[in-house]
Order: sequence, then C-alpha cells, then structure tokens
Amino acid sequence: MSVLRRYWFGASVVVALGITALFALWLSPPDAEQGDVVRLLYLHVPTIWIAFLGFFVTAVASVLWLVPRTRRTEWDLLAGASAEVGVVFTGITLVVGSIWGRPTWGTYWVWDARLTSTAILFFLYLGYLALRRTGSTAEERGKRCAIAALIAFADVPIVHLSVTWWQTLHQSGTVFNPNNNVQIHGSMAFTLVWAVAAFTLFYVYLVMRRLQLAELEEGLEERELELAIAERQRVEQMVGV
Amino acid sequence: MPHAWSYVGAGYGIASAALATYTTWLFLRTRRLRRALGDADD
Repeated sequence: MSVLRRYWFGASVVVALGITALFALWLSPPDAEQGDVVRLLYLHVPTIWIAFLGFFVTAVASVLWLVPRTRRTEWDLLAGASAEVGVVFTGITLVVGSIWGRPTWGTYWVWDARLTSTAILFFLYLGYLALRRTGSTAEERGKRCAIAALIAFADVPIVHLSVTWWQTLHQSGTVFNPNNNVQIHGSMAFTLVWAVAAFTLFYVYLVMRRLQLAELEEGLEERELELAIAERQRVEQMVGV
Repeated sequence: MPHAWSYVGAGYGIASAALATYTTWLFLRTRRLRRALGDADD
C-alpha cells in the first residue's frame, strides 16, 4: 500500500472511531437496567471481537506456515503481528470489563468462567509473544511459535462458549446465544454494529503497521548479521596476516 | 446508577490511552528503524 493510501486509510479509521465515540457516549440512549454504564459495552464487545479475530488470523497464518507448500516468512510475521494486536485488545477487554463489573455486579473481578478463561487467553498469548523473542533460527522459531499459536487458539471457543457451558455470573451472549434471541435493538444495536466495524478497520490498520515494522526488524537483524560476519572476516584476516 | 459516568470515563480513558500509546510506539519504532536502515518511505 502506498504512503498516501495508508494515510487515507489511517484518517478513515480515526473518523470511524470518532463516530463510534459520538454514538456510544452521546447519541445512544442509556439502558433501562444498567443506565449509562451500558456505554462501556460499546467498547468491551468490539475489543474482545478484535481479540478473537486477531487470534484467528494468527492461527490461520500459523497453519499456512506449517504446511510446507504454503510456507513463507510473511505468514510467520503476520501471525506475530496479529497476536500482538490481539493481546493489546484482550488486555483492554479485561480492564473495561472489570470497570463495567464494579457498578453492575458490585465487584471488579470474580473467578467466573468467562473472566477466568479470558484471563488465561491473555496470558497464553503473552507467552506466545515471549516465545517469539527466544533466540533460535527463523525456521525453528517459526515452527515452535506456529504450534504454540494453534494450542493457544483452543482457548478462544472455550471463552466464547463458557457462558453456555457454565452458568456463572457473566450473562449469556446478547447477539450470539443458543436461542438465537438477539437482545439488542434500534440505535443501541446500530451503535454496537458500527463500533465492531470501526474497530475491525482499526485492527486491519494496526496489523498492517505492525507487519511493516516486523519486516523492518527482520531487515535490521539481517544487516546486523552481515556486519558481524564482515567484522569477523576482517579480524580473521588481520590475525592471519 | 450513581457515578455511572465516572466508570464510563475511566473505561474510555484507559482504553484510549492504551491504544494511543501502542499506536505511537508503532509509529516511533517504525521511523527509528527506517532511519537506521536508510529507508525514506515515510
């Protein structure tokens, strides 16, 4: 993508997020039961959606890297970039969810199935990001990380289905639930859908930027390796003389 | 619900700060590496 197009895309993301804030904080009505606290859900729901999307992309890119016929360095870099963005959004989901929980449930945290499985998801992918930084060849690192990403992804359906499998404090899905009973309508539904779309655009933008940065990091590593080899050859020549 | 807007403000404030910090880090590190590699794309 050219620099100009990237700037326009970035500007579109800013406008989309600005409109989200306008609807979420001002134009949408307060909830009959939750009051204005419901506005936090226009942030909480899209951020966990982005986390799931990010980890799904990481899993797909990892599979593409593992299959010898489709193996390309770009898949490994995309897996890492998407996981990092996913971790940022999972962290925000946990914090915003806790803030919402205090006035609604009377507590910031409870070891509920949904909250616990989401916290595990956060730490699993933090571990994945740490694994990406371990020193080894690109081939070894790629294989190790791809397998770890697929293992970590097993927690995503557990998080999603936790409210169905275990009847604990967290309410069941407002949109996706076993009865297909959508419990949000009108301007509140529009705000939620708009917020999800705006954050999806933001995710695409962030992953593009992170991917570009990862490619630069690879380039820097290669250059440092070349310099180190040249330096070693120079020293060997001097010692040989 | 009492203090509802305090919670809303805290949630949106923390999320905005986190996302702004991450985006800024991406921009600054990209620019630093571009300079280090002598690339002048942006």
